[in-house]
Amino acid sequence: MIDKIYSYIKDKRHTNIFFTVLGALIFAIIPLFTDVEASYLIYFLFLTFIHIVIAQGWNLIAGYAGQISLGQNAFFGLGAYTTALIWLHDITKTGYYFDPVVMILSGLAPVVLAIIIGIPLLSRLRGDYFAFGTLGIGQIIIVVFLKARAITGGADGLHIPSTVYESMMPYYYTGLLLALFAIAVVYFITRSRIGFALRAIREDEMSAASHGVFILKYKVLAFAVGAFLAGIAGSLYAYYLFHINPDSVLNMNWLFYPILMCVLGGTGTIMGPVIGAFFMTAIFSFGDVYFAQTHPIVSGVLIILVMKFMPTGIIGLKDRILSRGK
Amino acid sequence: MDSSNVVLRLDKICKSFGGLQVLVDLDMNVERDEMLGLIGPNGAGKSTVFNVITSIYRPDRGDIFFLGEKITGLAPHKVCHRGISRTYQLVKTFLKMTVLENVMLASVYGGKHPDKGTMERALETLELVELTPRKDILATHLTLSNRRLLEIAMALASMPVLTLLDEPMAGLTTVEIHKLLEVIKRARDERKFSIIWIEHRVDAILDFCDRVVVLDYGVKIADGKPDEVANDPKFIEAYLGEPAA
Repeated sequence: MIDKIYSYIKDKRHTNIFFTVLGALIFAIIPLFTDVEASYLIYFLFLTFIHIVIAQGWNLIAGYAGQISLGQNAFFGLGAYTTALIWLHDITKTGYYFDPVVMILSGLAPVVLAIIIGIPLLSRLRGDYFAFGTLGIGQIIIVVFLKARAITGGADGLHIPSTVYESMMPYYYTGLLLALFAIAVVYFITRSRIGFALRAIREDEMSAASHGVFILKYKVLAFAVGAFLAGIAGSLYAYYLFHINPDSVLNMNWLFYPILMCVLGGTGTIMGPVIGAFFMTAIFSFGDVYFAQTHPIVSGVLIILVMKFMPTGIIGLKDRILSRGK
Repeated sequence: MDSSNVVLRLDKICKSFGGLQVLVDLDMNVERDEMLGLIGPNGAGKSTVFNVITSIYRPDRGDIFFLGEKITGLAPHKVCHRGISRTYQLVKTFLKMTVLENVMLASVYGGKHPDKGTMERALETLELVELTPRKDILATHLTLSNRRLLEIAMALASMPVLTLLDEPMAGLTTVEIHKLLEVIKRARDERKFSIIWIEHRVDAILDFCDRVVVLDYGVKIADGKPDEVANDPKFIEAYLGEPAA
């Protein structure tokens, strides 16, 4: 029996699934042994889960399809705003608080934006130019949300009723579920024939096209899935903040942290962003506690060191150590 | 010429880059199952012909007809779906994919085939170019000649009507060239398809092709059977310069 399980895990295709399930089980029982309301650990993990969701979205479009998008904060913010607006304007007539309908709609709003902006950008711009084009999305959204005061409340933003808050428990478990969902979505897309097309596009667009891949379709698809994941992460974060304004949800950190997590963990791998998210959130949390004044400096130095000595990310370290033995 | 037998027809194609006129009123036909050699000195516009046929460039004027239908300006992937595949002068295989994955990509996306049988088709094509023993290694670890064979396999995996080969022998040793020629010959015997073949080695083209087209500065200067072209004074002039008076 144990032999069978062991050989099942040893099979490369199953290792990722095994560790994901194992990790999910461990994280699922952690709240049983901690004081959920007071524990810093629960908050730390909640934040990590949110970052995993955004990072996996970026991993798909940049890591697998090779299109460096700098629009994740716009999609995250749009998701958060969508949740708040649906709630405040009583649009869906559903429960609102942790309402799956609202969360899905908050993912779909960024998808619409991603498709509208993605088609012109992805068909005309490549490489650095595409990156800067997407950077514009966040800037435009910030200005629009600041100026459309009647709808978005301008700089002060929107307040959703915080009296519904009872416990940290639903945040933790929803975060965990979303992280698992994001991992599963990216995993199954990249294992399917779509993943083939994305990897081919990453390596050589012209060659992929002449072998029959409709490159624009697959690039927009990856861009839209990335936007969806950022959007639902934004929705969950909106439930946590209760106060949504451009400063909190359209912040550039929602763009750069997930990218850093992917790169540190290993872009274009399914587990890289997960490991990167835990690593980065841990560094920032420890930095906050132990070097309160200087923590951005310490964190920055650490990131530079990791990039210098582990260019393929933490995941790549495994291969490098293994190949050294040979 | 029996027009129903024509697979590809270029009709007065013009293409220029900036002030440089690369193709001038080029007319060209390819017949079914024909092996057509396309030769010419450096900068004659040979690769541009391929890029125009596969829609990577849009011609300034003129039209391209494939199997009787106009394909000018069609997106590159649609040209591939119609049945035109190609290789590149600078080999463009996907280096971070395995050999089998490379061929699978072409087999899955290359044509309007049913989803079933893509794997069989990929394996069969690998067998055809004798790369089956290497199917699980990354393309980046292949030698240049094997990468060329892989690219040919990718071009064939979509079951094309017409394949464009852009200097498949460049940089190969005599032994490797011999093997490549053998593979192409066998592939053509097993599956019927047309080829346009660009090559710098004129001798190989003259030995091997059914018909030869010679380009010089974007103008077609000769078109005919290899032995006719070889004795054409214009062809000799383009390659060797004007005869001494």
